[in-house]
Amino acid sequence: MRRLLLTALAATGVVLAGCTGSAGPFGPSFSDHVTSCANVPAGRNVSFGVEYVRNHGSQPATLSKVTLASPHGLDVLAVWSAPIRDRQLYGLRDGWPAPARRAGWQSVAGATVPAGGTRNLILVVKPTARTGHADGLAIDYQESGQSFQLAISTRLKVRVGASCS
Amino acid sequence: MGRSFNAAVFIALAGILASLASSSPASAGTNHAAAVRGTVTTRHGTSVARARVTIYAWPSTAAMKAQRKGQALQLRPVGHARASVSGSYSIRLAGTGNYLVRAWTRQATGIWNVSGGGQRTADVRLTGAASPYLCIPQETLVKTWNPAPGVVGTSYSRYAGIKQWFTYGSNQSSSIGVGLSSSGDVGSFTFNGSASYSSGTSQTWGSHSSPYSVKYRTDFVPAEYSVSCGGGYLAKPKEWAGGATVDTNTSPPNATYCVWYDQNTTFTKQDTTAFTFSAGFTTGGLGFTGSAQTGFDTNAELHYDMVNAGMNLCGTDNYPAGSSPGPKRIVAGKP
Repeated sequence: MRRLLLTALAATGVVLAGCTGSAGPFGPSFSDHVTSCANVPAGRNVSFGVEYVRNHGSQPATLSKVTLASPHGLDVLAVWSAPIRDRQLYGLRDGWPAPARRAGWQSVAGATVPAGGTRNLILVVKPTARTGHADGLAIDYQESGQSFQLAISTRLKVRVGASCS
Repeated sequence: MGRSFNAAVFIALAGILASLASSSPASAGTNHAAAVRGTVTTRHGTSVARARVTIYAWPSTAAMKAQRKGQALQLRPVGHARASVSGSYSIRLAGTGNYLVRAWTRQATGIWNVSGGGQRTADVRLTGAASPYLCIPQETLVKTWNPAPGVVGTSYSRYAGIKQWFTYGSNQSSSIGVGLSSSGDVGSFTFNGSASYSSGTSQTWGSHSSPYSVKYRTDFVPAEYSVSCGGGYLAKPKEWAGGATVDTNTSPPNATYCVWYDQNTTFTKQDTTAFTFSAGFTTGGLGFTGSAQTGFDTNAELHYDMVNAGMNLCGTDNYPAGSSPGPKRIVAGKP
């Protein structure tokens, strides 16, 4: 019994030693309990820009990559980081963002989020099945030489030629 | 009578003693994941050192549904602590449900109602008369009224072109404000925490076209209880009664954190805990209006369907998909 207890304590210690336990400057991962769904004609893409990041730190952060979490039937074609003006996010829209709208947008790899700043994240996704879906976003970034990942559980559904209702 | 009273006191003491093992002094209880904590003060707000604080569980939902007018039910002690010299206390409490916090000194007694799970705050004012410490509170049903509507959700829209609806899932909880009075006189009740009520079945209200704003309501049974051991009178719903009505006599709040949704898209948000309706439920017979808040879980859903037009969805406190803080109220259409 005593040996079992010691083994359990040792195992717990190993697990704890492997955890950093601290969130990065973008804050802890969270679920927003939101599902966004788009009904698109066959052959069309969808722009998904309902999420944003805020750098709560005192140093600039650099985005490495943004990917869909657990995607099914969706390919990511492009990802941008965009400034937020007048408290307006790009949103959920049919097709590619028009070039005129993309002033100030940066491809996400290497894009900077200044200290205290916010950036809207916009992904262009292509449905490869009648119903595509993903469970959220995984955002990899660096600050002061440290790497972090922020996971946002926000569901995306794309239905080809079928209503979302 | 004497034998049953002694047995009841023994059971209560046993409960308190058992709970001592799981309760904490204020200085050591700050890391518990689920707890009730707060401060004991006089009726004027001055902190009271070293008051004794005991938490009691209200009777079960089934027992309270079956309770008849004039019938008394006993509350069950589940935790105990001694407040610090600054009046603060913390008691570990893992369960969900409705609880009565009773603070006691030799001079006065005070109570506060708490509900739900996780971290709960119960700041107790000693407004009641002195009563014995080893007193086991009983609640007695004084009166009930016909079911009355409580607000459990809202949707807002400024322009035509969309549909909106709200779903209240099965076993969804709503928290309703509780009123306390020492006399029980109409109009004398003041806010004293909250109690939670669970829907037995799901409730839907159907969809509503824009540009209307809608308060979604379901009925609760208003009631008055007396609580012994210096407790006083409580205005507190007896139970959830079901039913689905709407009130469209409401206007959109100012919401400026916006995100665009094209035509043929939908937005669904579960977990609508974020906003408390300050005038959510009225116990008309006692002249008390309390708050109402829905959603301790993800069983309540708010939907916007951009069926005929694209539109901005705007949150009052953050973007609709934002967190910490959440958007609170969401309005279709930019001001």
